[in-house]
Formats: sequence, structure tokens, C-alpha cells
Amino acid sequence: MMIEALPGINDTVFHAPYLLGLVVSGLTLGAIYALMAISMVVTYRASSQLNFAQGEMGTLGAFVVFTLCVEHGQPYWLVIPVVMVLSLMFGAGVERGLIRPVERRGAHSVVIITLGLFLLLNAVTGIVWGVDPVTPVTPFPSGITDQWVIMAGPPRFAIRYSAVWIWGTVAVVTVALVLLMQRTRLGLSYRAAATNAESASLVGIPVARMRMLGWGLAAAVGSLTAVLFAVQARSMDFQLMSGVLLFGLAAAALGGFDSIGGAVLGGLITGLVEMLVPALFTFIGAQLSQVMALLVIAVVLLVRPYGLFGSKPVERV
Amino acid sequence: MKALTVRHGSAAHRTIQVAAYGLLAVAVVLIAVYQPDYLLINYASVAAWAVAVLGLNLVVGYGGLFTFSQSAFFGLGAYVTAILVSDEGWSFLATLPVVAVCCGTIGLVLGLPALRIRGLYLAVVSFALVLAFPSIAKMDQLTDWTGGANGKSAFIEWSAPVWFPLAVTDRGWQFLTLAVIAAVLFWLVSNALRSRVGRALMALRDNETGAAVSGVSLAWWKASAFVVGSALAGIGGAMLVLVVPIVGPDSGGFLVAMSLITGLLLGGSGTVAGAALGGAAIVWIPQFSQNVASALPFLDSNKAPAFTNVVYGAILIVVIFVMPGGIVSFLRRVRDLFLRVEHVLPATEAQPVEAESLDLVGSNERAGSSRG
Repeated sequence: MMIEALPGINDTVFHAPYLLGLVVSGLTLGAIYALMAISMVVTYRASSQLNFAQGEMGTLGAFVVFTLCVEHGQPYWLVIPVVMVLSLMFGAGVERGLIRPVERRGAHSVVIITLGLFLLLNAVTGIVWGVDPVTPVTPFPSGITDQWVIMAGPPRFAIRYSAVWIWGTVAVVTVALVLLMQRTRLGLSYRAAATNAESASLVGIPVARMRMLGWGLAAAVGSLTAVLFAVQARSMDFQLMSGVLLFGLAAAALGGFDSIGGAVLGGLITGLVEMLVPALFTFIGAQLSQVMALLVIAVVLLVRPYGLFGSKPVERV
Repeated sequence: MKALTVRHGSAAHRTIQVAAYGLLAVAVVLIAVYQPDYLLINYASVAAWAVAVLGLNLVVGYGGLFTFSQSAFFGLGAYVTAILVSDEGWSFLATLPVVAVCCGTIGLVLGLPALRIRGLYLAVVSFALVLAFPSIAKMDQLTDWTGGANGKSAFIEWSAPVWFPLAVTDRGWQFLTLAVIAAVLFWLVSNALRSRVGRALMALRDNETGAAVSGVSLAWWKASAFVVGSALAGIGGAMLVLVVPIVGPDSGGFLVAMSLITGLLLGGSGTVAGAALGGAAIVWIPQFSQNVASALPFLDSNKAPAFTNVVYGAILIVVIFVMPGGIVSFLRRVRDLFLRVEHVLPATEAQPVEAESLDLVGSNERAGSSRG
């Protein structure tokens, strides 16, 4: 085969079980990035801002879930909605209390506020829950051997239960969010406020409250992302979301900051690139493999500066 | 007390300016002579960081190109100086022009394609470079130059020469050297920014289409901002080597990127003085946070280090909350209590000019200054 003769190409990738395994892990990671990207997009559409503290807010939520389930013995299916509602209130509160007051006064003030919040929440989580990793709670067995074996191998190809759980949750959340945006009066108001705040307020839409809703929804989705990623990683500490935040941001940029569909696709592509590209090309050293996905995204953005589905802003002079 | 009012550029204003800069120079010399060594390390670091923030300010504050990636040039500059000094035996000052050319060139190569990308997209893309830098520095193929994960040490002998009349320690001389370099660079940049260069960059930042319509070449000015900004970031990194003689993969990593951007926005983006204050903020706020955290009575010594970031984060939020334009805007308001500077615009429209040219000037200005 021609391709095997090429230097720097890892031809074991072309064994079906190995390749499928990589694709499955890529899609699992990608689904998590997609969820993070969705929460970025929801924030961005509401307020044209990015929340760099989104990951840490999610980590905080995941630790609250951990405490309520493990230390207080509450049922998982009760705790998750409660924490999502708490996150929604927290996110809305951050928008009202921290973002809105500074936004009008300085061009990049919001960046500093969210970076400050990032440091603060990260440190608070480290202080309250310690720096040692803990095992997250899951509603079903999700150890490394809890999986459906599809090809006995060797090499063998299997899908972990947690992967299916993650895909299912991401699909449900995405569909629910899209239905909320497209099929309800609330969603219509949100979209109107996002598209043209002045006109929206003229027809009686509470624009400020829609912004709070955007930040709140994003925070709820962010907490769920952290809970899912902890399941995937099988351990969590206060640094849980640092990588997810970054790749979620990159995925949102790839899809276009104002497109939910773009965020999903961007997330899946980012996950696949992260798993497949370094596995395929051996000349990419271990050190560079982490940033490979970001470099690929940078190149895509050079060709399409507003992402795959982002809309190009029309400016009046 | 009634505030004194002077007209910008008048003799009284000039006198006050010269006196203020004179006082600053005297203060620098006094610090170099009388402050203990362990504090002089901080002062010298402020000079180095201030130059890097000045570079970032050119790109972000004046050019409006929001990028995190200047940290990579900061690290690159540090590596170039460390390698030239320790492996090739160059003198420290001779490495600075090389650093400037090196970082400027790479800034151009990486910046040219980035001209297409705008706003928050650019911020995200620039993060690729922030994260790539430590990985590249650790690459096996470069270990001979960079020293891999262990980094590279470059101790530089730096004592005051015999002709220098004051008795300063080595640390004092380091601080004086860096302060002079920083002063020269600040002087050059602030002069450039007061001219056509600054106006072109600000027009670009406020409204790209408007700037282009007014004859500002977008590509040329953006690329120039990238080149000069990268060169300054590199020089800042190189300057820090004189004080902190170890360069590692993290010398250009995530924390440096965060420091630079927080320094810029805390100091005051889009002002030259803000860059200097930003340099000071980068050095002292973490130390101040650490002191506050270790002084808190309800914390045991194990939790104090983690609490540093709580204080740091809280300071960032509070400072931006209280002074949205950065420290410099706050200081300006304080100054206005005692001394007001009146800016007198050239009276173009009031003067009887021929109708045709008046129209042209008027429409250009409207296009350049309106915000989208």
C-alpha cells in the first residue's frame, strides 16, 4: 500500500478496531467540548462577551453535586436538576452583579472580570474541596472495564457505558436548548434581544433579563459539562475544566460564536482532530499533540475568519 | 483648593512636565542607591514587564487587535538572550537588537495571516500560540538550544562601571540599566503614538471601515503593530533575564499571557503611562495578595498559598469595578483635582477655509471618529 511507505505516518491507525477506538474517544471528548462550546455561544449571543470563568463555574457545580450525593447521600437524579437551577441563578447573578456594571465603562473590562472570577473560583474550589483528586459520582458503573465489547480483537474495540451516557446527555441538552430557542416565546424574546437589543426593547422585550437568562442557561449547561467530563476522566480536582474550557472556546470559534449547530459540529471536529491527528502522524511529538487541535482550528479560521457557521457582522460607518 | 488650569503644550504645562519627569528620574536614582537588594529585584522586574506591556498595548490598546500571544514573544526574547549570552558569550546589551529583529520578524510571519481574523476569534486563535510555546520549547529537537524542560540559566555579570559616580550594588545597577532602556523605549513609542502612527492605529481600533475610508491602510498598520509589539515583548522578556537569570518553557506560557493582559487592562489600555503602571501591577499585585493571604488570621499556613489567588482574583475584579479605565484613569481624576490640562483643538472649522477643502476634512473626521 502506498500510504504505508510514507515516513511519519503511523500505519497501525488503519487497523479498524484501533481506528474505531480513536473515533469513539474523539467523539466522546468532542461531545463534551460541544457542550462547553454551546454554553459559550449562549453567553456570546446574549451579550457579545465570552465568559473565561465558565469552566471554573462548572467545576464548582460538579463539586456541589459530589458533596450533595456522597456526603449527604441525596439521590443523583434529584441533585443534578437542583445544581443546574442553582447554577442558572449563579450565572444570572454574575451577569447582573459583575458584568453589566462594568461593561458600559471599558472596552475590555469584562475580560478582566471573568479572568478574576476564574482565579477566584479556582482557588476557592481548591480550598474548600482540597487539591487531591476525588472519584466523581455516576448513576451507573463507569469504570475502565464497564463497556460493550464490539470486536473481541486483539486489538479489541469496545464502547464504554459512560461514552454512551455522555452522547445521550449532550444530544438531549442540545435538542432541548434548540427547542427552547426556536419553539417558545421565551426563546423568541432571547433571540430578538440577541439580534437587535434596541428594537427588541421597543416591542417590550425585557432585554436586560434576556441577557441574565443567557448567562444563567450557559452556567447550567457549564455545570452539566463539568459533571459529564468528570465521569469521562473518572476523577476530578479543582483543575478539572482548564483544558475543556480552552478546547470548548476553540470549538465555539471553529463553529462560529453565534451558532449552536456550529458549536456542536466544532466540538466534535475538535475532539476528533485531537485524537486522530497525533495518532496518525508520528512526527508530531508528544509535546505538540495537545496543541495540535488548536493549530488546526487556527488554520481553519484563517480561511473562514468567522468560523464555519458564524455570521459576519455588518457594520455601519 | 481650586485646581490649577494649564493649556496643553503651553510653557507652564511644559515646565510641569519636565519637573515631573525630573522628579521621576531622581526617584529612580534614589531607589537604585538606597533600596535593599531584595526590593531592587522587584523594581528591575517592573521595568522589564512594563516594556512588554507597552508592546501589548500597541497591539491591543491602540490597534484593537485582542491577542494573548505576546507571551510567546516574551519567552522567545528571553531564550534568545539567554542562549546568546551563555552559549555564544555575547554581552547582554548586544543581544537586545537581535531579540528585537528576531521577534519582530516572527511577529510579522505569524501576524500576516492573522490579519484576516478579528475580535474574539483572534483572541481564541492567539491562545494556540500561548499553549504551543512551552511545547515547542520542550521539543526534543531543540533541547541543545533550549535545555528542554529544565530550561536554561544565564547568569550575567552586571556591576556598575568605574566611571559611575554613585555607589550602587549590582542589583542597583541592573535596575538603573533596565530603567534607562525602558525610558528610551517609552519615549520612542509615546512620540510615535502622538503622531500619525497613533492616530492611524486608534482609527483602526475604533472603526476599521471608517479608517480604511479615511486612507488608513489596514494591512500595513496592523502588521506594523504586530511587528513592533512583538519586538517590544521580546525585549521585555530579554530584560527580565538580567534580573531572573533562568529561562524555561513557562517563561512564555499561559501565566505570562495572563500577567501581560491583566497588567495592560489594570494599568490602563490605550495609554502609555498605563503600560508602566501595568508593569508595576504585574510584579506587586501577586506579592501583595500573598502577603494579605498569609496575614489573614483565620487561615492556617497550609491554606494561605491557595488563598493568594482568591485575593488576586478579588483585586482584579475590584480594581476594574472601581476604575474601569484602569489605574491610569483613576490617577488622572486625582490629578484633575489639583491640575487641569486643557486640550485646545486646532481651530480648523472656525477659520475661513475654502468650502471644498473644509468639506473634505469634515467628512474624513466624521468617518474616522464615529463608532460602529
